[in-house]
Formats: sequence, structure tokens, C-alpha cells
Amino acid sequence: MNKGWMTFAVVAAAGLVHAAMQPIAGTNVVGFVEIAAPAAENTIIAVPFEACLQAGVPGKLGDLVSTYGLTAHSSDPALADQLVVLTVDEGSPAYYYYYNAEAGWTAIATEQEMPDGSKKTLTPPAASAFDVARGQGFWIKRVAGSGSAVYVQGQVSGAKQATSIGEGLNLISYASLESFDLNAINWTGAAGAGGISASTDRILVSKGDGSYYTTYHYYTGGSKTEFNGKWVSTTGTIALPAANIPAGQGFWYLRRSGNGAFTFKPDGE
Amino acid sequence: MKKTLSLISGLLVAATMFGAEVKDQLTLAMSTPGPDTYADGSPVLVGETYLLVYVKQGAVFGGVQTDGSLVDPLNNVIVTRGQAVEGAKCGYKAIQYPAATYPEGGSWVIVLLDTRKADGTLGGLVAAQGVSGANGAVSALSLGAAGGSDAEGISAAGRAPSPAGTPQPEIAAVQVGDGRVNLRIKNFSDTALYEVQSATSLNGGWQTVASRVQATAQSIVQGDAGAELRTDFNVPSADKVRFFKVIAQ
Repeated sequence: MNKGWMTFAVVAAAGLVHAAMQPIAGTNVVGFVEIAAPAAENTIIAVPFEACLQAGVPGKLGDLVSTYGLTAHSSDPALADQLVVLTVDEGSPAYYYYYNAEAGWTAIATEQEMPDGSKKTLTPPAASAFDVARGQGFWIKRVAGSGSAVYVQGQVSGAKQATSIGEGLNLISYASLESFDLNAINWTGAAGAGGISASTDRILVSKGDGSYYTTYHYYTGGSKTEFNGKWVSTTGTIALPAANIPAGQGFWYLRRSGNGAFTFKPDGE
Repeated sequence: MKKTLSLISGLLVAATMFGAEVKDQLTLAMSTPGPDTYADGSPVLVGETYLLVYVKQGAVFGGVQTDGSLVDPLNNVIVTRGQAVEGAKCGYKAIQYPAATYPEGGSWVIVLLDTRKADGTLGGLVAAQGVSGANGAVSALSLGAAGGSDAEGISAAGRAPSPAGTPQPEIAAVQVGDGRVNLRIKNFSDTALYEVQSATSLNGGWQTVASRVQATAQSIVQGDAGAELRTDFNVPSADKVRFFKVIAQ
């Protein structure tokens, strides 16, 4: 036998067998959206995400609004940024929370005056336990000296939005991750008329500085057929909205009395 | 003709493996001429890991997983390990073995691992691998690397897969602020490497913003639902919207 060293020639030969072993994609996609929210103003925001921490269950108020850049106070809610959420729990119109750097979003106890003149203290549930559905709107009240933006964050949802709208004022939004046109989404169920009337549903959108609103009316069956099934502005002449609504910005939906409730399905059935 | 000779010469020195028969013992030595490289073309760091693997007759080398184990342990055997030395090459290492242990007809490969952590130090999970091979049966030393290489050295350009059974990871939380992102992953495995990709639109443009994310004493934190793997990275602070997803390689 050859007892000497053997040197082998070299040829290219990729021998790896990896074809069946693909990378493992994660189960979710998360993100954040920056929303303009000026200091010393109230801004309607809406979360376009689902819960991040607990997939498959409703988002929690305390998880969905980032505390980055917010103004905190250790004890005085009046000196901190606040969240205000509409509710009908216990006859209360709204729950209030303020940002505490140590405790996060902290419930503010409010005093309710009862019909018999007595007082009742109302303490909202913890922000970490308060469900916030995708598409639901609420306010952020910023104190003077705060920054000009807030972040909402969470899990991207592939599910179609379905938001209940009842008679009266509803604080909602389209849970889009991009700016959107009111007239580019499905409004089946909205009630309109061929002009402005007491039965026409309305939408009120903040102009962006938190203090003024632009009103749109739902137009159906009028002589201006090009506007049928559209939200129109009525300042001067009837026209389509000029500006898109930024992602994460909420608005008021006024469902006229007598029109009944409907489910807002902006992505269709 | 001159060009052909030059090429052959280059191939001959690209990698060497020597065998010598002493009674029933065989001697095998591994080394590479270098420079061997990582996937990005940078030379391998001193101390980087090489494997000498025996491949049974009729089988092929199946690769190395992120935890350093073999994809096909039935037909592939890690015989010894080597380390990179100055010159970005595998340092000379010889072994002796009974001839019957690794029968003729099988083949040999030298595998270069990329064990760099996110901070650049060695000793992490296996992110990538490159392979050269020798087939004694045909008296030929083969050099190759997943992902491609030239004959001058081994390139660790082939992805190392996660071990079978690695669960799908899930992003448990994300926090942003001034361009800094803190992201937490649950359902992670301590034998898998993770990569975070990000985009400003869900329609595409995903780019890697954190790679070689792996479980260490510093990166594991306690979340609401158990242990979570934490990673921090930067994104443009002017972003108005940004999305993230995680992948186990």
C-alpha cells in the first residue's frame, strides 16, 4: 500500500442538502403608527392594530398607546397627558386615565352626581384590563408643553373590521395602516338623503390641530348623481372631501335618531 | 495551457487533506490554505470553528444546524474540530483512526462554521456554513460551499437551518421611541437564531434590522406569559409608520 501522503485534487462540490429546511416565519407582524397630537389640545385617535401581547383577544388600552414622548406626572392628572375613552359602564359617559411614569396609564376616579343629588365615586378599570377594539376611537388630551405626536402600536390584523355604530355619537375610525379616503371604503348601512336633512348621517373630522371639525354628510338619491353614496362637504357647494384621513386618526360618526344601528364594515363583507 | 496549469495549481493548494496508513491505523490531517471567508467576504476570525465530517458511502453531507448538530447524523459523523488561525485558514490538525471506523468508499468534508454573535464575537449559534470535501474513493478532494465559493478558500455562505421542532416565533411586544425599537419575542428556542425584518409598508420592502438574535443570559427577560427574547435596534427616527416581523433561520 502507498504509505506516503496523498494529496487530492480539488473540484467544486456543494454537498449541502437544505432544500426542505426553510426559515421559520413568525406568526405575526407588528408595527407602530405616529399620530399628530398637538400639545394643549384634545385629539381623536384610533388604534388600527390588534393586541400585541395577547394574540386572539381584544387589545388593551394600556398596551396600544405608546408612552414614549408623553408627559407624565406622579400624582396630579391635570399635569399629565390623559386618555379619555367613551363608555356606557355604570352610566358613565367616559373613563379618564393619566400617564404616570411609574405606573403607566393610571385610572382617574371621578365623582358622579346621582339623580337624587347624592355623589358617587366612579373608578375606571385598569388600562391594562380595558378592551379597545380595532377601529374604536378615543381622545388623547395633551397638556401644554407636550410633544406633537403620539404612537399607537400593536399587531397587524388581517381580519376585516366590523364596528358597531348606534344612534347618536360614535367615536370610530377605519382601522387602516395608511391614510385613507372616506369615500374609498364601504359605507353600507349609512343613512343619507339627497341633500342636507335631519335624517342624514354625519361625520366630523378634526382638522388636525385638535380643535376644529369638518363636517361631511352622507348623500344618496339626490340630483347630483355623481355624489350618490358619497360623503360630501357642504360648505358653499356640495363637494367631495379634499383630504385623506391619516392612519390612526379617529372621527365622530353621528347616527341620526331613528336610523337604527348598523355595523360599519369598511372592508366589505 | 498556462492558464489551465495555473488553475489546477490553485485548486491543489486550496485545501489539503492527507492520509497515511500505519498498520491498521490511518492518519488524516485537515487544514485549509485560506483565506476562508464569511458570507460577507470578510476573512474568518482567529478561533472560528471548523469541523471534519465523514460522510458514509452513498450519502451526501446534509449540513450543520444552528445548534451545531448535524442535519443527517445517521450518515454524517463529526470526527474532529479545528480552529481558524492567522491567515484566515484552518490550522493544521491531525488525527489517527482505525481504518474500519471510517470505511473506504465514504468521503470527507471540512466544514467552516460562522459562529459570530450580533456583537461580532465568536461562540454563538451557527449562522452559516461553508464546506470543502475530499472523496478518497476517487482520490479527489472536493471543495465547495453552499451559496457558492471560489477555489481559493471556503466561504461560509450557506444558511444553517434551525433544528427540527423549532416553534414558530411570535412578537410579544414592541416599543418605539426616537428611532430606537425594543422588540420582544416569545415562543423562542435557545437553539435557534432569529432575524427581525422591518418595512414601512406591508406591500414589501422588508429589510433586516436585527440578525443573529439568540438567547443569552442578557437577552432573556420575563414577560407576561413567560420568558421572552429581547432585542434592540434602530430605525429612522423620522418614520411615521413601520412594521416588524421575526423569522427563525
